[in-house]
Amino acid sequence: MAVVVDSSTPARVTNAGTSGTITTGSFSPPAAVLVVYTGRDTNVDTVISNTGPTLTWEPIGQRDSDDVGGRSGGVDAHYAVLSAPATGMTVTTTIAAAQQLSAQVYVLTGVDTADPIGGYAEGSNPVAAFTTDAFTTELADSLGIFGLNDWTPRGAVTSDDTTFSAYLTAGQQGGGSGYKTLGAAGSSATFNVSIDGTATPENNWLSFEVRGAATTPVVEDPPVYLRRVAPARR
Amino acid sequence: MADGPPMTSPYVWEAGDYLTRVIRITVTFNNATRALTGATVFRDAACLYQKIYIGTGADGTPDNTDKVIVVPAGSASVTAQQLRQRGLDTIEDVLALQITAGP
Repeated sequence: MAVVVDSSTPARVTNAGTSGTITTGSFSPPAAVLVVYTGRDTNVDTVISNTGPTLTWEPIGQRDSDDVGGRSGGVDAHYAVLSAPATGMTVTTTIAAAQQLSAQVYVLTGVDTADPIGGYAEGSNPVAAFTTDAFTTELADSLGIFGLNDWTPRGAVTSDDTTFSAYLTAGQQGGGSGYKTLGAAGSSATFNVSIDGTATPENNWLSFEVRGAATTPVVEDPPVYLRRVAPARR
Repeated sequence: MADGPPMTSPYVWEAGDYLTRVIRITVTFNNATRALTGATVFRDAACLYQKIYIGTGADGTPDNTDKVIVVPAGSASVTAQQLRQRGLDTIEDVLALQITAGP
C-alpha cells in the first residue's frame, strides 16, 4: 500500500532565534503515523511531546557533532503511531538549549504501523551540492523522507527530487526536509540537495524509508462448476 | 548558537500544505537600524493554511497568539504600523518568536 501524506499535516514551525521550544498549530489527524523531522543548530538532543492522545515517540535516527564525521548543529527524526483519529492536537519539539530550530510534522497514512521504518542513511557532506548516500528499500512504493541542516551562514537549502520545505534562521543557517515515493523493493534510494552561498557547508543530514502497510489479499471462493451427469443406468 | 552574519532584509518564512500549495510572509527591514519596514504575505488560493501565527499564546499554542496575520489568496501588504501594533518593531522581535501557519 502506498504511503500518503495526509491533508491534516500541520505547517512547518521555525524559531529562527534563540528559543528551545517550538509547537505546531493544532491539527486533527486520522489514525496515522506521525513523523517529526527536526533541524537544530546544536548537538543537544531533541525531545518530542504532544497534546491530545498519549503517544510514544520513537527515535528514527539523529546526526550531529557527537557522531564521527558529524558537523556542528544536527538533525533528527522521530515517529509515533496514532491508533485513532485525534482532534486539535499539537506537537512540541524541545531542546535543552536556547537555540534555533525548525520542525516539520508529517501525517502519514497507509503505513505499516507494526514496523514503520525501513532503510536508513545519514551523513555530513562539506560540499554545496550532492546526492546523499544510498539506503536500500525494503518494500515497494515506500515514502522516502530526507532532511538536512546546514550550520554555516550560506542561506537557502533546496532539493530538486523531493517535495521540500525549507527554513532559514537568524544567522542565515538553512535547512529543510522533504519526501518522495521510492521505487521497487531492494532499490537504491538517494536524495539530491543544494545549499546556497559561498561558505564551506557544515551540514548533517539523514534519510529513511517509511514502509507501506501490506495490502490485504482478497481471497475469493473457488469457482463452482456444474457438470451434467448422465442418468444412472438401470 | 551558530555564528553567522546578522540576517539581512528580507526574511522569508514559507510553508506548503500536503499538495505543496504555499503560504508565505516576506518581512522587510532596515539592515542598519533593524526596524521593520513592512511585510508582504502570499497564499495560493487553495492552500489549506490561511493564517500565519507568530509566537504562541499563554497556553503555549500558536493558535492563540496575539500575532495572527490572516492571509488572503494572492499577495497583500502588511504595513510597519500593523506589525508594530502586534508588538513587532524590529526583525529581532520576529526572529525571537516561532512562526507557523494554520487553517
